[in-house]
Amino acid sequence: MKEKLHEQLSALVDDELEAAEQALLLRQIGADPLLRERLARYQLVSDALQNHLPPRLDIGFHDSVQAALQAEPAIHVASSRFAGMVKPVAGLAVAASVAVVAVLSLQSIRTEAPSSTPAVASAPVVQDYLRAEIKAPPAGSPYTPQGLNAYLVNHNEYAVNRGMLPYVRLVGHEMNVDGKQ
Amino acid sequence: MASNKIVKWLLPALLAVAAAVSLQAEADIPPDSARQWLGNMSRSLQSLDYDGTFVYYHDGKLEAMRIVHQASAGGEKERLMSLTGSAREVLRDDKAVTCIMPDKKSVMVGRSRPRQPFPDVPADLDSLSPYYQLQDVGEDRVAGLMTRVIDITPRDKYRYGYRFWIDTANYMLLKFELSAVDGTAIEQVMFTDLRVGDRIPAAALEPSLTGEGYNWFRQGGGENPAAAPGQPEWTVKQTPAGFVMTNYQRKRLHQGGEPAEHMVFSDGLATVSVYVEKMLDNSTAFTGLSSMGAMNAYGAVLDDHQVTVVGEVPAATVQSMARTVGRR
Amino acid sequence: MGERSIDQALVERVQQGDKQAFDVLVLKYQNKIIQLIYRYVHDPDEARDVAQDAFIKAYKAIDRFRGDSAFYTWIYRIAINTAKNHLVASARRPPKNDIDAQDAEQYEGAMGLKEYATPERLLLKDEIQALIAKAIDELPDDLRTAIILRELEGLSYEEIAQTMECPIGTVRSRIFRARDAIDTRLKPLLD
Repeated sequence: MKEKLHEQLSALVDDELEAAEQALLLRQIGADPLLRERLARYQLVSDALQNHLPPRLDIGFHDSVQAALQAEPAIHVASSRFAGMVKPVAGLAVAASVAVVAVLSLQSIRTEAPSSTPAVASAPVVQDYLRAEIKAPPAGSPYTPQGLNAYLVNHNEYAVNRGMLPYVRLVGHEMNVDGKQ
Repeated sequence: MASNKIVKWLLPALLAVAAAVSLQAEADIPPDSARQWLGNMSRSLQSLDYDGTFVYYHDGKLEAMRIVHQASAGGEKERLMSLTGSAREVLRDDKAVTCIMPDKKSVMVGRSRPRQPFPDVPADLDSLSPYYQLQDVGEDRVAGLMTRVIDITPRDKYRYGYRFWIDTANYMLLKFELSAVDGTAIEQVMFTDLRVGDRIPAAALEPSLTGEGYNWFRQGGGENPAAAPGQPEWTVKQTPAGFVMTNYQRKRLHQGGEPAEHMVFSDGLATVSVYVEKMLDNSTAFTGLSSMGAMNAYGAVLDDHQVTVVGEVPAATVQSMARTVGRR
Repeated sequence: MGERSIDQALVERVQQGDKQAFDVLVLKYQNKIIQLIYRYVHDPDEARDVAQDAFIKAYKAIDRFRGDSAFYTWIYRIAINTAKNHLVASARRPPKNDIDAQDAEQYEGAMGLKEYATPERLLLKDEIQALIAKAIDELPDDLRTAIILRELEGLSYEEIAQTMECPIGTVRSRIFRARDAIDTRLKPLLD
């Protein structure tokens, strides 16, 4: 029984753990300091072989970081009330269809370089701008692309529930508003 | 008949809380009819946490997008973003819908409304049957997962057909196809990667763009759009069979614009909005047809007013309705 | 669209308030990060303190980590910046050549550091490496091959399975048994 756990630790070092094994193993690691020590030793072996060891070894380093973290507030995200009500379904990975992958070329959606120093204040959240001064639309604009978008966005809120499907069109199209067909 | 539908519209908002509580019970009932499959699907879309990538096929083009959805005590929060081309994004929660369009350097913010439930109550479906045929067409696999395929076939050219591939395990919509009455596919959506039930980290629901330096357009001027002030001044004199007015509001849609009349028509499944807005002196009119995949919009100018008919219906429908708009 | 990286899973747990998950992340990267910081800060105690600062900074900023880069690349950047800031604060100039974050994964490290470590500390690192080398030498062939392909050639389990013409499960088991054998010798040294 322990052997199986230790084998999973070994797989974890190589990032070759099955998705289904992740949750349980992480829970057990969290609960058992001996497992953590073993994981640290396995990692040490790996680091040694790959020549990633510093001159002075401090295998208990992570413990002192953890101790220092006790003073920090836990990262807080609103928990889901539905977690108990809707049966949580194990994470499913849906394999991509080969034909689809061949056609797609995914581009990064990031337009800004990620912040390299955590000390920099985080980028203002979009909602913050709602309080900021809103520019008046340029003259002649109500029926420009922005103008039509207002109708589309407003209308989408009246569509029968199919999730975000109505918005998929907004996101997926360059609307040709000039249509004088 | 018309007034029944208006009242029915109000009910979902009131029942939203009650519906949430009964989710578990509902989802456990194995569906034995097309309508139950659709109802369960609708509830899953609303109540489950999921994060997935899907492809959207339309007009011979294939695009990829990501959707993140979280249901919690605070309500629904979702984010949709384009993974191909420019990084368009839509964020939605119980208060607002925010659309960020980097290629137009604009952000549009509107008020969000409680989602209209999918018509899955027998009474609803009876009223649908003159215009649509509902069918359970069997099982199919999507990317290795077992799904139930439900068809909604239109009976005339004013409506679209729909096909849903619903995951038999959790009733999530894995694939969706929209077609014309003759069966030609117009749009297709298919998930290529979907995680359901795992916790959604806050970061996944934050926008990746700040909209800084963009033009911001905010709908509404603070009036409560739920007020229904009597009869509209305008009317659609001829609507395709089955389309009746289900909602009527007056609201400001554009900053600095006049309050517009907004009439919502529905045949029970498809919705069409008719907006009539007094034009400003310096504004350019939108006339003619504009298409965005399955979404069509038709514009016309009447009496110094911009008339815009928009809906997830064939062009023929918005066109025919726009042409019969007139004063009451 | 395959399995999700364990780092991603761990970061998400941390973002949900699971501090233990962060411990696993530190544990995974402590050696690499301390080694990295040694390039800037040559005193062992100081390097250790700077490394601790870097990890704490990362923890505080983790709600802003968007997952568009690997966690290691992110903490790598934080560690470099923390080390540089530390040097500036102590009025020492950082070295001219900065390691590009993109090369983080391939960087061999450890070059030119020997002169800064005290003899008895160095002995411990050398001692451990010698012990591991000896243990590997004495492993049965199939276990030795598996762990060498993994650690020295950097092959995935899938690739090792193809090379060794065996199922992936066997690869995983062999690598584990190799590590376990080495661990049996290593554990007394570290206690």
